[in-house]
Amino acid sequence: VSNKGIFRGWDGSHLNRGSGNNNAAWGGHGLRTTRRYTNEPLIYVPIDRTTGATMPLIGASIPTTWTADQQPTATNDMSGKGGSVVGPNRQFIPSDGSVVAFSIDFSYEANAVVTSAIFFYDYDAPVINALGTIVEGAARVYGSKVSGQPGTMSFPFVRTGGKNNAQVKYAVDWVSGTSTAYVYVTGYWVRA
Amino acid sequence: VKKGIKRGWVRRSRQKRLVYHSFGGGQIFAYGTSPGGSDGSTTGADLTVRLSRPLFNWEHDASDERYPAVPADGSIRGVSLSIIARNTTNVQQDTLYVFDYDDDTNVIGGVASGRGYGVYFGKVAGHYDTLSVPLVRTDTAGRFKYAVTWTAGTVAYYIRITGYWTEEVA
Repeated sequence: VSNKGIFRGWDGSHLNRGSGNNNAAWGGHGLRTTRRYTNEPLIYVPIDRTTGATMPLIGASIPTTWTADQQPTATNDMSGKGGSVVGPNRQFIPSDGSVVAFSIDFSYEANAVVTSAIFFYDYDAPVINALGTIVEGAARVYGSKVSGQPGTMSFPFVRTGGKNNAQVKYAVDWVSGTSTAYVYVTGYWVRA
Repeated sequence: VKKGIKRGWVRRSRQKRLVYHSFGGGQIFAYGTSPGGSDGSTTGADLTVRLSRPLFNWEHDASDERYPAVPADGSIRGVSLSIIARNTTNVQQDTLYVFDYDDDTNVIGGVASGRGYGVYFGKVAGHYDTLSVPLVRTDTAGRFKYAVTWTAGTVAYYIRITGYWTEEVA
């Protein structure tokens, strides 16, 4: 230990340098110096699911409006989109770049007897560099081993990025037939 | 009603604010078939409550810096999971359960009571069902409990870690 002054006796072992392999103190212990997006406190803003309201819809129907293959693709910019309830309680996804992540509901089905699925990735997931390949690290739901039978999942946290910080990435393991997916933003996370 | 210095005191384990660390959409942690094969850490063809392996030595994809190694300092309080299962056969109904580590009702080696989170599957042969679970409490090694029901056919199940929780440090 060669540190002097206020660092005397401190060997840096609790410093998270963000190497991905030096995180013994990960979780808020020691110094919080890197990867702010992982450690910082976040606040969740739900989009009210009032009776009759529709969540902001990312998209539906594959392959007509979605990419019909395994290529990871960014969704459209969801900022400014809101629920269908008109009035003071209507909530909109911010356009100021403050969103950190979405929570989403998604369901997926095909009209053919296939095993297929839809995947959602953090926007900053490196999968975008592996076009045409679906990899681990995705929220996923399988559908349609039975024709027309949807699978559904609610997932709490998919990191956003891109335009207005309001895009996520997705991929579809499409095989045959026409797949349909409904993907709703049910809330978003902002920094505390 | 507690008096004196314990007035207003409740189990702090339930009161601490928690910090969430996302693993993105999740990386595979445990998978297997029932009855039969497994990933070496799991499984059986019944309702037996099993203990997951420790999380901190989990060999996930550490090459992706967004998914840092899980702390081994005992700071883990819970995990978030994505659980998926199906059966090759059309059965009455099977379930994949996950339980808090400190769930006193579901004892390791005992029979699952049905308490906890569960995803139902198997009513339609081959069809996957999925559940995202935001918080399953663990011990300080990041272990939780789970169980798989099985009636016929072959069950395939997958448990992915989508993130973990630590206590907030002031």
